[in-house]
Amino acid sequence: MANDIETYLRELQAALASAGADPALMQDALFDAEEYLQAAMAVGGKAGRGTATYEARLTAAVQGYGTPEEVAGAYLGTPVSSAPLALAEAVHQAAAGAGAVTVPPPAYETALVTAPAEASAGVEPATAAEATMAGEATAVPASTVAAEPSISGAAPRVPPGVPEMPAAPYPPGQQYPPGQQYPPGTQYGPGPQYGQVPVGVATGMAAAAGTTAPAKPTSIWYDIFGVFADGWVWKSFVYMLLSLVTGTVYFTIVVTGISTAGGMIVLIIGIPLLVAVLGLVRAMAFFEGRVVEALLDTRMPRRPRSDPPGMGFFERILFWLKDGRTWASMVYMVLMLPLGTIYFTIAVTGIATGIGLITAPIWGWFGDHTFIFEGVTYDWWLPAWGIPLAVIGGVIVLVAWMHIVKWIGRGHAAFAKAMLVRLP
Amino acid sequence: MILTPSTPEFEEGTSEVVSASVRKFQKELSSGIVSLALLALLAHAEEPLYGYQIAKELEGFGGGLPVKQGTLYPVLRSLEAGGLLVSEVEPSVSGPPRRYYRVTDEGRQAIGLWQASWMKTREFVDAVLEGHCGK
Repeated sequence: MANDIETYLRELQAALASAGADPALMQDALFDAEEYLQAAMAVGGKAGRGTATYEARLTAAVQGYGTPEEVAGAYLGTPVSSAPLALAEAVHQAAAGAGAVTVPPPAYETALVTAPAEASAGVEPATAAEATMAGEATAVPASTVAAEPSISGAAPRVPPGVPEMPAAPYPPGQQYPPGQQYPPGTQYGPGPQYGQVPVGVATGMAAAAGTTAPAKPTSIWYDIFGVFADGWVWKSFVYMLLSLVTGTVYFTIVVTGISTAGGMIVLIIGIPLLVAVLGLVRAMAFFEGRVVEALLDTRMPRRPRSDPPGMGFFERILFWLKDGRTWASMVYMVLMLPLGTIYFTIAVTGIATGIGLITAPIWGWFGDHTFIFEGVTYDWWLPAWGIPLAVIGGVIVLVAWMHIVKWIGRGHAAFAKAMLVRLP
Repeated sequence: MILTPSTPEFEEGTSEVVSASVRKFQKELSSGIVSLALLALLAHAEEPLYGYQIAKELEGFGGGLPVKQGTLYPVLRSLEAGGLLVSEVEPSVSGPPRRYYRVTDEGRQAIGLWQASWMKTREFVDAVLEGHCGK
């Protein structure tokens, strides 16, 4: 069963998908589950902080929350609009009819006194509930919706009833290493801290919608030529082109940063420099994660990896130094120079060779073709029998290249995830 | 690691028919009561609360929550869709952003009436159960 939060979320997604939940509902359910489990893990859960292992605390949290099947059942069994709407409407009408039932905010008990128990108010909710049980959908009274106060939220709020964005795999939250504790009394209230920004959850999820695509047609021809219709493969191609630039930048920053800081570490100036490099590496790891998610169809953290709250400056630095991801990210960035060069070369030579061969007949029509190599002039021409061969060869090269791009994209996504996110 | 599902515990010898009926009854019973409890809690709350806080608060009452905490979330969303709650998403320090819920004016009106309805229902059910019904 689930031994980390991401596994649980995947199981929940699978349970919802197998029950035929619609994408927006699935997204809500995953959001809620991640919120609960992360919060439960942050405060230690039922098992108590500091006394239990990560797994034991997660087990307790999941037991409190429910198994994926139970939770999926709860979401599917709860009508999102009808019951409360019917009740809200009944209350609305009752309040309008009774006139006097205007309840001051905190003291809802007074409503008990003033509410006409024998009047329609007491009866209407019951009938409304009956109507709901019978499965009747109740229309939204315009006044109820219009009167709904809206909070200026950090994230865009989707009005009820409006279909939300397509299904999306849920962002993996940062996992906290086992045994990592929070100081007692820490407030977990809202508010931007540690440079976190409100995450456009909806937008981010829409961007990652890719794994819930409908079943693709299966035929040998689709297997061979379908890659050209797959948008993600073209995005992989873009990533391969981009990786030369990003790889060079990452490599340069890490190598110069570490060698400069390392060289000056005996002087005092080397220490703040090292800290700056570590911070930069973590920021770049987050950025690279965003690029990988956008272009390589894999879920990466939507937020910078957060440090535990309540840490002083030196504690934070120590945490960075002890965090394996810092070092894995650094290795990844150094490796990105050779990898980026290889990816770029494959991307460019593949498409150039393929298109060049396919269009060879066209070039054959235009005059002489000479090239000079080591002082000797060569002349080349394409004989008539070679034209179909060149075109067929070009198609083969292009198709093979596209498959290579696809597999490099997948492979690199897994590599990036392993290095930047998933480290025990 | 094995997670045991939290079905109600039955004494040995309870037949499958009975235990299934208990589960079904609990499910039907909780559907309205959970809404009532959530709305009451949020109407009392001084500040917006997010799901985990709500679950923990409710756990502290009586013998604890009769349902899995995961089942509270869909009810919260359902109440929001009905206009009795509003929510906003805030970033959090320790993980994913959280959805904070608070009661609307309609929600405050509703809870009073819901409570009246609940009182009547409870009185009636208690009376029936005590055998005073057909007096």
